[in-house]
Amino acid sequence: MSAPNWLCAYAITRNRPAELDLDPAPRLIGYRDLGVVVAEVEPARFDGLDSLEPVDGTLAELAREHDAVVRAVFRHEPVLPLRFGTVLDGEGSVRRLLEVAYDQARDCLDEVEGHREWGVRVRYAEPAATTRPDAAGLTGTQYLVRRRERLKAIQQTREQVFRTATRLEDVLREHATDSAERARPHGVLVNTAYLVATGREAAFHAEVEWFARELRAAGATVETTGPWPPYSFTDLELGAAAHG
Amino acid sequence: MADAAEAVVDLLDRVVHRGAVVTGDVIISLAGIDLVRLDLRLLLIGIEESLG
Repeated sequence: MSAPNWLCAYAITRNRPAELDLDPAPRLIGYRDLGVVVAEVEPARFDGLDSLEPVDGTLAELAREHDAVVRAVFRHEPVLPLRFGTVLDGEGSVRRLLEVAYDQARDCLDEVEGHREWGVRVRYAEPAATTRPDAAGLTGTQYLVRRRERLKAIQQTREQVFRTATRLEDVLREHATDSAERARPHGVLVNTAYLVATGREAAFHAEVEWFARELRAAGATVETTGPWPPYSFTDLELGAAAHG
Repeated sequence: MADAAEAVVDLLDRVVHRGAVVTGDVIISLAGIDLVRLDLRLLLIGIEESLG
């Protein structure tokens, strides 16, 4: 299975040499003004990865390596990240990919240049409606009234949280060039990635902080992740057109 | 632990799920990740977090 000319491709970027603070340093294979960042790889590394393995397993480790290379390039140049585990058959194939996908890749790179991705998540664990008020010393009617009031208060808080979360999304979209909704597990109201121009990051984060205070007062939490290279905004297929 | 799991979810969802896909005869392979199972895993971790 040894094939030393097989190349793992990490990202498409500008065809400009950059000092990457990585060991071993990946190479840049260029075509016109674009380049692909690659490193020799043993394809068997990607065999048998189990997506249900624990958090510190091989998949997570390889994904971190991939991310480290993409980020190292991203510190100097705009990047169009390639999907994890993209293995190409030598330098000739890498150049051919750039020839075939040149326009598409350059347009996408132009779009994300000067931007970083930020993730915003709003989490809301609703108080359990099943907890009952303390019935001691209450008549049956008083108890029912109290219980109804409590349910109503929970309902009102929930509506307020939902309204505020929706407003947060509207406002953040105005500060972002693009946004992408991500999967929302139970208890997560908002899980969105935003592509934000670096010049608008301060305003973007000021809004996040303002809404985080509002939402915290209502029992919800706001988390941000980032900055990320624009992973969520480079969802395209490269090379398909040339092969029908 | 929840934070570490969440960080991995955020990472895998981007690195493994997103990013440009190369197609055609130049490609030898994409890592053989079962994306359905990955989705399931992301979901499970999300549930664990909301319970934790």
